[in-house]
Amino acid sequence: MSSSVEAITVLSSDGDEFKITVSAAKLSKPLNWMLEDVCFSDDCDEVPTIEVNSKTLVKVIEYCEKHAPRANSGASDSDAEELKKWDIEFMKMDVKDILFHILMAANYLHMEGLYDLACQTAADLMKGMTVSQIRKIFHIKNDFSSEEQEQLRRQHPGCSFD
Amino acid sequence: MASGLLIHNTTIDKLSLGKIVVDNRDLLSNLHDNILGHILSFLPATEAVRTSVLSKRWIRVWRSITGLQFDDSMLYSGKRTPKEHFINYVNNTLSHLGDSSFLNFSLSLLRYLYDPSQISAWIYFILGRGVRNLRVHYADKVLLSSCSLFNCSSLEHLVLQMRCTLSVTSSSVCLPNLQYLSFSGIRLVSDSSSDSKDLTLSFPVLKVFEARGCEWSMQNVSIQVPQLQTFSIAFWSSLSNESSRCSINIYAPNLTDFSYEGDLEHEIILSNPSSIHKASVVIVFDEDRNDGMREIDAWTHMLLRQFHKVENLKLWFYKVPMHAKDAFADLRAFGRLNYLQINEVAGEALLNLLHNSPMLKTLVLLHGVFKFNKDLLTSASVPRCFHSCLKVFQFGGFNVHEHELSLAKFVMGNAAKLERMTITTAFWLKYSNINMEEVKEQLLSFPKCSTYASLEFADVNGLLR
Repeated sequence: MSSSVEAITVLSSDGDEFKITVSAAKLSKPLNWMLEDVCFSDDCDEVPTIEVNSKTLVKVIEYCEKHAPRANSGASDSDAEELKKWDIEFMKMDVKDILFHILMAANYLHMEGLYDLACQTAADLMKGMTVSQIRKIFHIKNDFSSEEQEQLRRQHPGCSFD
Repeated sequence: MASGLLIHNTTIDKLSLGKIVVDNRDLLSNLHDNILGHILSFLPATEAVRTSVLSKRWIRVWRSITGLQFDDSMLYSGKRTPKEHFINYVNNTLSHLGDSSFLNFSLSLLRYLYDPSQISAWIYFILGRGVRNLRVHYADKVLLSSCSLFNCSSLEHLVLQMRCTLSVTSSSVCLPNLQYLSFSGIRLVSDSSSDSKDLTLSFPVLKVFEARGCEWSMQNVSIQVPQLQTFSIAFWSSLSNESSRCSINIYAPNLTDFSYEGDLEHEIILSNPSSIHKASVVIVFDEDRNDGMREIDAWTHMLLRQFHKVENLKLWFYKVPMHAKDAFADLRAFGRLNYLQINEVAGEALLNLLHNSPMLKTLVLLHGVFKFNKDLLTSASVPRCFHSCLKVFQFGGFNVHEHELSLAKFVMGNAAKLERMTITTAFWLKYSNINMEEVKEQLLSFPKCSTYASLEFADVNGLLR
């Protein structure tokens, strides 16, 4: 690829165009492979598609752009602290609505930091909840028969079914 | 954690935008086992295993877990877990684990005491599963073979806080993926059967090295850490009567933060100390050990002269300066030093440091300065940093002694760029009959070299107005 390229254009699965800087795209292994590929040379018109919907991709790119400076150069502890706070805010926003999409996108795009962050956020939603509360939050249907429940109760003597 | 990442892009399209709260579909259960396993790894082990009763889909999900956190002081249904239950529970959980590679394992055992071999059995099991992040907190003794620990090449993040003696059989140890190492209470000894008393620790990608309360009884330890940024080591006072002094050679060309705490029983040699910006040295000298009095000077001197490129230096000496008259003499200049913090210091030593720190901006004395002859300052030449750099002088532990007043006068009268001098009085002055208003007036009457220098007074509770 040409060294003059600073940002690349990608398509979301909904067909919308998005710009992402090269340094931010490097946070994702598959995107990094694409960068090394010819498809971003100056004389190529083809825009690659990323199998992530627009609403999710906006957030993923926002995350990449924020984290790119630190990922590309060793940053100080104070930066790391600031970034941690930013991550918490990032996950507090409307992201919760699309948490599962972010989770899958981070997995698909091989982005360790975002993947861990999304998994942590999902786990935090379960933490300290009773089994029935978790079922309620995530709409998990209890499909055990009463005999099966009885059997599970015996297998996990300490577990609460409330 | 790349191995936990698998491509499941097909499911992405199945899920349209939706809110967890509004949308009534069970999006969570639709995720792949590997993703769910990773989510569960962020939960305490009890909660992770408990998800097996959510629904049929979830019976086996937890076995894909990529990490387990066991904590024996966790409340379980509002009750403490009895020790026997906890042991059974850990054993049971470990025996049901699937074959997926294991990333994180944390054992927090602060409530009960265990059979040392019980804990090591758990650790061995986890080391055998290619764990990347291992964290063990335990207050008592654990038996662990150094081989199994140092052969676990998957380790990236290792935190061991427990009483453990690692008897090293080989003369070199390498953990190729280790990025963070924190040891507390770990003794490193060379195996009695081995001939060599030397040890090489090689961690090619290690960024942080922390060792607290450690005892290393080897002749020479060489630490090869080309990417290390932070090195922090704190020794317990050596109780052994071994006469030979251990020498620790550190090869760390990218080291920026250095911290040492101990009695200098170990010689620390940095192969390339010029990368260090920030150094902290805490030396606690045991006065009962008469033999080392003269040596402590030379040892302190040798350690300090390695930090000639630091910008930030913290020197906390306990019971050292009375003996260490020569530790600060003939030091190489601290050409870049702009922040210096000292807990207690002799007058001569302080002058030496000031003369050797031409760029010093901030000087902090936590507990004042030892009594010195009043001629010391009248005959002293003005340090270079007073002409162009010194802006802040924090004078803590001020006892209103004559020599302290003369030091304050010396700084005020000669520091051309001084912006602020803060004098914090020692706590006992509150109960004395010294009239602080008079002392303040006396201090304020000293001639000021810098026209914009302000003088502040504080006691232990903060600034006085």
